[in-house]
Amino acid sequence: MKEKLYDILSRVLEIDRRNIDDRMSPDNTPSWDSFNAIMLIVELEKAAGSRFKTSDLMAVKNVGDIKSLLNRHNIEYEC
Amino acid sequence: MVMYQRKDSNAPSTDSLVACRALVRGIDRSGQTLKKIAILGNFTLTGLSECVIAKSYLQDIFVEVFAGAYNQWQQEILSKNLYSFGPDIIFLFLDFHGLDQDFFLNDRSKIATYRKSFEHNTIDMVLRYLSELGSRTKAKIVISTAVKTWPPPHDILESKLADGWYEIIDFYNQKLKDWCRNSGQFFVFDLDQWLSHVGKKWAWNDKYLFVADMRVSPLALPLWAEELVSYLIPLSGQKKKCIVVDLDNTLWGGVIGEDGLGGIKLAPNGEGRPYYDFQKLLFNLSSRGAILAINSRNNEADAREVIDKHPHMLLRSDAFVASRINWQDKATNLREIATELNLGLDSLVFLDDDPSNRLLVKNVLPEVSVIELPNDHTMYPRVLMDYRGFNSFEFTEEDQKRSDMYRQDAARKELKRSHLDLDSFLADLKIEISIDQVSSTMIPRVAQLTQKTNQFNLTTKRYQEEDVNRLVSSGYRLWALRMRDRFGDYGLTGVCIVFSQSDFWIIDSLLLSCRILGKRVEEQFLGHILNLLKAIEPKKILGCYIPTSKNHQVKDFYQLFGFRKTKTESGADFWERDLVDYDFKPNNFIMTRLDKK
Repeated sequence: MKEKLYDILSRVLEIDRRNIDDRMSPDNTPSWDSFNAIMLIVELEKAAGSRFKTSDLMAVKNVGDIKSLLNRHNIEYEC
Repeated sequence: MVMYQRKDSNAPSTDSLVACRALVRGIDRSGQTLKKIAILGNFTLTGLSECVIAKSYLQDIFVEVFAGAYNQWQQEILSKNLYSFGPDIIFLFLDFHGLDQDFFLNDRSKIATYRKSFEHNTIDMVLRYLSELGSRTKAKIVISTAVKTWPPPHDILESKLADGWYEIIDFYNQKLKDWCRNSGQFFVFDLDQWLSHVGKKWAWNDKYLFVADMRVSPLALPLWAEELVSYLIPLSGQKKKCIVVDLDNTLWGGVIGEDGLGGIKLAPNGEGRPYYDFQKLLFNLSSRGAILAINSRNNEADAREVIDKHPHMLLRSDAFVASRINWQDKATNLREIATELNLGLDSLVFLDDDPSNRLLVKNVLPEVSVIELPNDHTMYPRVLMDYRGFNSFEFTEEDQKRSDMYRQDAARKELKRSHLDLDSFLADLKIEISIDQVSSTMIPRVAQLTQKTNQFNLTTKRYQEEDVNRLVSSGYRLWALRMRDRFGDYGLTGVCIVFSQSDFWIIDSLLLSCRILGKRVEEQFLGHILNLLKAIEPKKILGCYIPTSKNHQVKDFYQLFGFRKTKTESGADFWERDLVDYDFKPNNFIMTRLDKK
């Protein structure tokens, strides 16, 4: 990816990248609301240069899920 | 979009939703006058507010946004929150999917029936809500057209159906346009056309429809916001008045001093076409009320030869109200043009192909809007089309006449040089004025004047048409000044608004268009009004001067009429005099017609 995954997350969710881990999710992160979820999709697809299936995106429940989504699409990324 | 040219080189990014939001976080709105925008709709509009705030900021417009609850546009219209927010403008975005779930169910046998019920129910319902909204607020209201998706529901057979879906959408859109056409309050934003322009394939009915009921893709929100901001230009007093153009490689291709009349490129076809089209757009802008001026480094005779003689020149000498064709620097020329036309530098827009000239002007005269022209001259027409700084909420006759008037003014200034004594010069102008009570046909122009007049404006109160109507109906006395002289008719160019409060007359507004200043008409106007007021009731009169960055020239205007300054409060001066002993002697070289009703 053109941008580090945690940089995207910290920019969109407006949080310190040091606080990001795989278990971070909308349930434990107040700023991960529906608005930011949309922005996250936009920014992830932009950085990855590819578009994900809507159902795959809807299945993302936490940061770990984002990583497995990227892995399944063979998208190389850094945290 | 090019509206944002002035700050292009160091403007923060607003390309994406995230960038817009980041910018919004950093905007300090304290102490700013906020324009209030409400956004309602029947689909998810999340993120649009952030984009509108960010894009407005790039235009030096500070806004506060009321975002209606998701798909609750009807509830918002019927409840109080929207109105206590006090919006200046309300956008209402309605998509057909939200108006009628079954809209695109293609049962051909039922379309005709469906259409009838649609016309009677859905369209009616939308129009009823619009009227309700209009009756509850004086804000401008902008309704979007319904969007046609591609391909049509019946594909290649769609046009065979008299009651096809496209027909129905067109009918609905036409209804909206007809309904709004003669209103000063309602405007139609052609969402369908705008989406066609940017590309429905990526900007509409994207996957975000299924993720979050978003119709306009989040990727397109920043661009969409620019369209909304183009409606804020006339609300915010940022409207531009004059386009100052370079000549060589801007109005035509090549350099006249080197290439000669036959060598420059300017024609309806071939290589000269971009320049020809560019001139056509400038012409169109001038018929919408913008005025044109020339700022060129050239020998004047060379340039005049092209302007007067080139067979394809669309903008002849009479298209320009001022020109500086010389070897001075362009900033000095711009300053002179502004002085000659009596315009503030911030109402000028500068067009020049040479980046160094643009840079010079940006640095020396930051108030001037400099349009960044691209390296590729074939893009010039597009760039100009995308410039929205001349947007206005109303056409007025004065708009069409404005260029004529400025030209007459230039002729007048010529005459001024041949008369040495001011009074005999003025007498020679054969000035005629009339002072009338404002009637309903004058109201759009009166409102426009309150919004555009900066220099001779004692209180700088900005009114929309609805405000003026309200003043009239609540017993304020409104007078309008019309003026003509031997060179032409200036039209309605002055306004005075007075109301009565127990022992006082109070002057709410007093303003004159800068085009007619310096002819002692200003004294006649107020003088006659004071006489009229005295005849109605000879009591005390109170006037107020509220300073702005532009109206210094009227600071002591009331002193001329024997007013006494009684106090200064939060920057404003209060002036007072008793009308009992007031007696105005009109001067004898201005012919005056008074409406004594």
